Amino acid sequence: MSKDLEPAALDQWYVIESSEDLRSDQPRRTRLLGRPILGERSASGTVTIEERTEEGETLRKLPCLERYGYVWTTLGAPVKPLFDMPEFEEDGRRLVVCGVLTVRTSPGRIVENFLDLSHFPFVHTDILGAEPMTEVTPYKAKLDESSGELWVTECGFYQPQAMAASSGAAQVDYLYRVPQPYAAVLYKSSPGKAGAFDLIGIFPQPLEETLCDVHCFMLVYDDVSSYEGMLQWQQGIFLQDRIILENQRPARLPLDPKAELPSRADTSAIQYRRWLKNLGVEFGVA
Amino acid sequence: MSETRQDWHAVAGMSDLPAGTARAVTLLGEDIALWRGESGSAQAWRNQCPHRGMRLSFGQVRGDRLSCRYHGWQFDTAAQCKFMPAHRKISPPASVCVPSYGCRESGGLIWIRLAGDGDGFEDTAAAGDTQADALFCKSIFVDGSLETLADRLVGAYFPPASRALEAMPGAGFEGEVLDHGRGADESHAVVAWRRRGREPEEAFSTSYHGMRPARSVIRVVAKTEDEPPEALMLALQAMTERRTGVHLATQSSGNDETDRQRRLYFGRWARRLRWFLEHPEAPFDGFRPWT
Repeated sequence: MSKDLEPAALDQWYVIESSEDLRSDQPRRTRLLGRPILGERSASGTVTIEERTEEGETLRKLPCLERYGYVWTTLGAPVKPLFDMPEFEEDGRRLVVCGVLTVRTSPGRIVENFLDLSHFPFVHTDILGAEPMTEVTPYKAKLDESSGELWVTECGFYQPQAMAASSGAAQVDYLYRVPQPYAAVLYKSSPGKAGAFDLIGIFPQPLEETLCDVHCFMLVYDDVSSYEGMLQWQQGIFLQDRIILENQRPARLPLDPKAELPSRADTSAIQYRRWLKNLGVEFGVA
Repeated sequence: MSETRQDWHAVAGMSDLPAGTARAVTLLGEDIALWRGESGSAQAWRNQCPHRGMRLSFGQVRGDRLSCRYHGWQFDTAAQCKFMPAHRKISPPASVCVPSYGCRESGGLIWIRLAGDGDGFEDTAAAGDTQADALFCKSIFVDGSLETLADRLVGAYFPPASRALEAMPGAGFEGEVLDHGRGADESHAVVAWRRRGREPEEAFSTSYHGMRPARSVIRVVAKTEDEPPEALMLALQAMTERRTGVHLATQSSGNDETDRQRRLYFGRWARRLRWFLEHPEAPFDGFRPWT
């Protein structure tokens, strides 16, 4: 029996598969928020998604969207349409669908790690950071009242190999957008186009409270790197994060401000946890 | 298991924690980071960084500090945070520290107590096994509770450890077990024993040291007239209700090559012991640990 879930978790949009991997000969049997899900594509290309019982019987048809290279659904009734990413319309960008990585932790821990700057020199050593350039300069994290999104701005970090196409170390500008609690996109200085930003996004699909399939994409100005090269670069980063993510205790994200001790560099995490608490998120938090 | 948090428990061999390393151990269901600085003694901490909950056993030992794998926060041997790399010029407040446990080294093993301060080690049976010449041999990890394993190890019928001593090469224990029985207070067993080809003249005494927690330290001492007594110690670690560590130490011979042989011998024996402990249905006669 699936337990009652709160609207804050139900009413988000979740990726259940990339569009290219949901083929007509390859249905996706998976889970979302602890419930069985089946995604199928007909021979004519139409996608249907249904919630099922544990025994595999159809319970109901679910809303279904194909956007940004992914198949999206929801178990609730989102008050907002799926968040808009106008960068997908921009000419000259390449979309890299990086595949799915299963991580044994909560979606909140995954998003918070994605927003974290100060781990770069220690977890992504000589790629996204290097000692002794460990200082995190002040930045801003703010809930945008009109859009209901969390934005983290004015971030900068010294990075030896900021992107697959980077030719050397550089001071890199960052900003982050968290359009809903369990999805996040970062913008960082593009080595391929001066003044522009490359995008990297993660869409955790919470299978259970502390088990996620993380879907990840890059949308970049990069005419140099091979698809495999970019994929390898991104998956290498993610595997380094996974070692951390699966060894944090507790696995659920603690929302009590006294549970863990943040520093000023954790401003984004402080705001993120406060936001989740105010929204009434219960799934995947402690 | 709560009352045993006050007791000292063996969790690892001293030589299994070289200087500059960190590892995780489990005791009474608690996840513990065990580490040793470049110059210092072993430290046992709660395995959770106060910053973002990362297990500190994944950390890097830098000199006499443990540096968290996630954000590089550095903690000194007083478990106090001394450096946050994201704020290089700020001294961390005193409130940033890791809960630590009492930790001592004795008899070739590392001992921890989860509750109470570091005092009282001398009063425990663990301290009774202190040997300057202790030789840690091997740790095995076995399915089953400490109580079950203790029963199987030192039950009324047989202390397998004495059989190991019996065949311990180079230690003057070639012989056979003749008989065994329990002491009146059930705190020890006596094993009559003789060397092959000689009259019964000597005995093993197996004592259940460490009455708190009951029978967690088992000591087999061979008493002989013409040689110094030799001992084998089995220290049991209640990891969880269903899993138990057994740490094996004996005495050093003072000779490196002989010690190496002893470790090899007891290592092999310990692997067979694990099989025996995990197969309660196996008849004991079938268990010949030294073969």
